[in-house]
Amino acid sequence: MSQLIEIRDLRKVYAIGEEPVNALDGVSLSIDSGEFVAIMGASGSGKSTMLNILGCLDTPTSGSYLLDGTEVARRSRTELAHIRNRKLGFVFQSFNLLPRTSAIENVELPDLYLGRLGRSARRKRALELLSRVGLGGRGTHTPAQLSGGQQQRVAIARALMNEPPVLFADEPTGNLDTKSSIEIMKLFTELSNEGITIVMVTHEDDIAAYARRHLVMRDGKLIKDDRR
Amino acid sequence: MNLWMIFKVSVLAILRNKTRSILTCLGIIAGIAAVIIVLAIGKGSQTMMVKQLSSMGNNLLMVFPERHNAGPVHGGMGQGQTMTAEDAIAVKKELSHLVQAVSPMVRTSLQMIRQDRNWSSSVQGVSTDYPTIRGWDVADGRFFDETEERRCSRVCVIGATVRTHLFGDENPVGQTIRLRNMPFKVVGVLTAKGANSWGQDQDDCVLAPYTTVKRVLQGSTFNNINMMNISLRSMDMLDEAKRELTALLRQRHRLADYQDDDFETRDPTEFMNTIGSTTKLMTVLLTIAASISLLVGGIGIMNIMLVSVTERIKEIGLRMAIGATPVNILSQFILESIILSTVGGAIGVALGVGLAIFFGNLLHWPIAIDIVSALWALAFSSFVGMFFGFYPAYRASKLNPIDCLRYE
Repeated sequence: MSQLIEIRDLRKVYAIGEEPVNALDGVSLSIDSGEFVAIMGASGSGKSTMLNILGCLDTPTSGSYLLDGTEVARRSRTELAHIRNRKLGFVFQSFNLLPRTSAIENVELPDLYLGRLGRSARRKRALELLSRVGLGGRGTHTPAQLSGGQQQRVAIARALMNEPPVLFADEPTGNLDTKSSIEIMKLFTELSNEGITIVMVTHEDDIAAYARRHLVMRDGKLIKDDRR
Repeated sequence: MNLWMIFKVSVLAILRNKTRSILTCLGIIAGIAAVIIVLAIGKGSQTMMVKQLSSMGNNLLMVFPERHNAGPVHGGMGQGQTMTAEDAIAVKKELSHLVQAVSPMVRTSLQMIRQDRNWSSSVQGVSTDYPTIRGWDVADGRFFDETEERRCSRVCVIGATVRTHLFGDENPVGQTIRLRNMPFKVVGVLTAKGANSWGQDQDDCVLAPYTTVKRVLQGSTFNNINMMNISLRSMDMLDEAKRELTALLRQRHRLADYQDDDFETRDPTEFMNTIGSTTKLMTVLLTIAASISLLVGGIGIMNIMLVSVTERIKEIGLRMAIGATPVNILSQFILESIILSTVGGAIGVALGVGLAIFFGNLLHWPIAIDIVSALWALAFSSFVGMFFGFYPAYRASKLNPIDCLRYE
């Protein structure tokens, strides 16, 4: 399998008060296409910083980051936005769906910024993705009319809209009950089996158990890399 | 992402929160409506004024005798004795390249009697040119002719008000009224002209040949007249006409170079300028007041947009995360602001036009809706939206996606 993500000696320093804080302290890592990776660690271990940089939401202080063969460590805000739009999908702990907006329109959103599909093709793809995540008949529902698990499925469908090679998930089951959590993780497993690379941050061991590779962080350093 | 997509995104965002959107528009609606009403009233009174002034006559130029000095006593305007009917005839003959009609006027007030009714009004002695000068036709019957003028015939044409008081619903044409105990034949009735710009009822008069008024009613053997009404061929000739008229009258009155004119000319543009500058000042002041309310409306938009940026910070973070560039966010929020203010402006124009027409009818105010100024108001409201929407939109575009997503 080809390398999708490759980071070298990645550092992120936050200047909070007098003392600079090393949120990432020289992390090197590569992730192949199709992997299902869980990043774990205690609060403050640097796992969120790691995900933000991998997700091109933030830039490292130093080091290099090759995404799909291109260097993305030092890009402008606009360039990073284009990369996120085309190559990355995001699933958040709090779903982050647009309120008072139907599930279909939420799913369509990434393509509004990409403009790859026409009006009807976009609608068709959104409907397909909604049935793919098991919400076939609920396209017209607004987030308020959906349960937490259903909202997260809409968010996953939205993340898949522009066919990104990588999906980033930040505590995707953090706001869900056990039953919904298991359903969401089953969905991730299916997506992974279809070849989508998934990088997920979690602190729950039973959720991490769905991933095939575990990265454990502490004090900004990678301390464990388990492949199963 | 093209502009159409951003437009769609903005419209969807506006429709998502209808109450807030309407409240945001409210200031602009009120501001634009106020501007439209003020302009409609200003324009209306101006149009009305022009109409009233043109009802005074076609290309009218009036000449009054003055500077009648008997020893130390100065006479008032129109009291001078030096201007005569012959002057009027000379003006018509010698200045025919500038003047299309001339009528002398001699005025006298008297009691007019018909059977058991009577009415006090003024009799104006004029020439047959008078209807042309004033643009005043007879509604019934005819005007007196030159033969009657030459013969000092006892004929008259009555105004609509006099007709009402002396004849009621009867047809006056061919009937007789008594003026200073002399019978006059009514040959025609004038069309109703209404009040002039200073509220005088123009229909409350009787017109008779100036020769008749002078010789028969006043019993005078002199030829002096109270004023001269002149209709110019074109208002463009006004300055030239005034110059030549002055030269002609000075020559006829044998005035030496050191002597002042013994007459004075007046034209409606002078009144127009005086009244016009007053209404213009009013319009300017009211427009300033209305503009301030529009400014307040704009600040209202900025206010709500700033709140909206904070309130929708998670939406902004999410949009950025899924690929919205800073420019996309900036455009979205500016466009939202422009759409809100333009729609508000359109509603304001409609409301303003509606209220102007409603109150115009209710209070009998002259109203003129100017499409061009309405379009300007609309364009201006869009500009207000763009101007006041920029800062909130700029702030939104500068936000960091991570901070937005984490914001609670």
